[in-house]
Amino acid sequence: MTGTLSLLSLASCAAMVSLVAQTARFTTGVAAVRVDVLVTDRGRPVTGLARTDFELRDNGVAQTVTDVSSETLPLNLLCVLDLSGSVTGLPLANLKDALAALIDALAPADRAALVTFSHRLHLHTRLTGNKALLRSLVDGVRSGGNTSVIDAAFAGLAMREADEGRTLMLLFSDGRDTASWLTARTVLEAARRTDVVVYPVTARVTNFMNMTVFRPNDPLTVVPSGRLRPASGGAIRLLDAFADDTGGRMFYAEGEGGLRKTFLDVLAEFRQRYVLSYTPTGVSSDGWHPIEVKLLARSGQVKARRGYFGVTPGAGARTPPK
Amino acid sequence: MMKGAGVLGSFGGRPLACAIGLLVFCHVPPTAGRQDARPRYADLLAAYKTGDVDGAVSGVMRLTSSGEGTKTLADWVANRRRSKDVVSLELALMLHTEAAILGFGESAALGLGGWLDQLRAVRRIFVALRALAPRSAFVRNWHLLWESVVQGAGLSPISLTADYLPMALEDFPNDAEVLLAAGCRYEWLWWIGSANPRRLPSGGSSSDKQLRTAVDLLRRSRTADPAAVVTRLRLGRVLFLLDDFDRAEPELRPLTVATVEPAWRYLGLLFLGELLEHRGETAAADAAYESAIGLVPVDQSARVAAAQLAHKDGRRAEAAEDIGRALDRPETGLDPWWLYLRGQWWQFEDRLRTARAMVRR
Repeated sequence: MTGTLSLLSLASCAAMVSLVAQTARFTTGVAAVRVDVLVTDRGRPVTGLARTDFELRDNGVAQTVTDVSSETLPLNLLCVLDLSGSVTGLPLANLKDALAALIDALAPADRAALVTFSHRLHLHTRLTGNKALLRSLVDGVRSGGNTSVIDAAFAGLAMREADEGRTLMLLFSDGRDTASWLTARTVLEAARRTDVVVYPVTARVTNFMNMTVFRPNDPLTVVPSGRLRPASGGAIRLLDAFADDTGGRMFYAEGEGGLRKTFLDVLAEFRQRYVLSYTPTGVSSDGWHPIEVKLLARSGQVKARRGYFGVTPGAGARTPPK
Repeated sequence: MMKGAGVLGSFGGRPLACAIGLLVFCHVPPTAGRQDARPRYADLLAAYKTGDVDGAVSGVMRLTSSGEGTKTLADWVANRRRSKDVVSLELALMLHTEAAILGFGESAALGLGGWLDQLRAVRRIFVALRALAPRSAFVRNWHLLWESVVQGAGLSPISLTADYLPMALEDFPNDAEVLLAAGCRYEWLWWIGSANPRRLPSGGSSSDKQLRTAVDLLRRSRTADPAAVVTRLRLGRVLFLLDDFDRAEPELRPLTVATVEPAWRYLGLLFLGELLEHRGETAAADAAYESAIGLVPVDQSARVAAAQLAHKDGRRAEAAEDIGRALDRPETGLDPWWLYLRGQWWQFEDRLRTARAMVRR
């Protein structure tokens, strides 16, 4: 847990935004790098941009954006979902309903994977385009136990497959971590080594009664009673950091049907992002590459990763700068 | 085999029911039909003594929640104290302790007020008992039982739950297990503080001071019982958390040998691996994590640790494979790391059984 907070005050998007990209495929020094970018203006996604609308710097060196694509690449959706003891009853029903809607909204070429967690991590399916299977698996999930959101987030990152698709991790959690082995700092560092874009979703609930429930025969479940709990301050900061470091955005589900709408909003926003491609020139293929992207000749905010790590397999443990 | 292995066997590598013990009391909350007949306190004590835990506990919950019951209890305790009736006070303490434990359980219909009533009853009886027999074996075991509940249930450290520990340290200053429980409390406080600073009494963030206090207590415990595996494990872990790697490693290394019980060995390897990883000794850390894998049926944390290290090292395919295996653990059973986070909870079943046996003698 130590050091988590030091990672939480990441730079916000301004005219020039620090980004993180990634690239696991960056092995020869000449491979193309892709940067997943969200452009907004007064909170609304900006569409219709061309490659000439962007300026991109890799390690401070201006690069030529060779391609801008949007909605053309298939989506790999990693659903990483909190099924700890607090997500029971109506919250669980709402979650299943929201997931069903999300699965229905996937395009034919899209694939989804389902990972759930309490203190225990569970892979229900790797990436699949079989919607019937996904619906069936969602229908069968059960909740109970503590919360390993940090370990689960890492699992999602590590599962990212080396294909041409874009990977969106929808990370749903409503509470603080109580069982993970990994620390938040470790997993945020891991996030900077991948191109997975994380969209955390949490619940915002009013009239919350912080009454602890303890089950003597289930000591790994110590949860607030009553309804779906809102994430605590620490949990919010953690989820926010996942979003910030990966270029995603944090969403809050509110009210009746809020989760369904939020999940669909996440998917819709992700589809309105741009994927900028460029072949790095004038920079080393190794090490940490801070990236900066800004818009040319128009207003708007750009949100994406802060950089990427050129990885030489087996070259030893690496830690991106904080 | 190092001392402590036998104790560990109660949860190492076994399903949940065996791991922390399937608690023998399974409380049934008072029903509407039973509330009109207010039980007599003496009958409840007799029921508890003869093994009717459910009946005695549900009855005492109803009794204590009334103003009349509170006054009756106060008089009863005062009388027993005057007559130096230690045996009855021990029996009553256990009855209300079990009611208090269940008072914050979801099966109890007491609410916060009812739970506090039980905590106050426990306090009243404990104070009387401690005045008569401060250093008895029963009191010592009760301290250890209560501390396992406080840490295991994640009770907010309010005075009625938390301040028995200073009394235990005062009455048993050189007792290895009391010192271990106390050291574990401070490590646990640091942990919950680091996850949610608002839960600390100080209202502040997690603090090295708690870890240093834990080190002091654990060292005293180790002096009192040098062979205790769990003390070394926790001492090594806390020293690591304080970045004192040089002192942490000698505590952890001896726990990684084959003669140590698998669950403790698993944790020793996990902690040692993390230490080595922080030192930049990637290959050695990897070896430690790999050695931990397979020692216990649910080894999720070791697999996650190995996957993270591979990922950091640029071995993405290996990381994906490791995490795939971490996501495919058995549905039952517990990773010892999850129990470690519950402090002294793993002692709960044994302490409760011992305490019950003591009052039924």
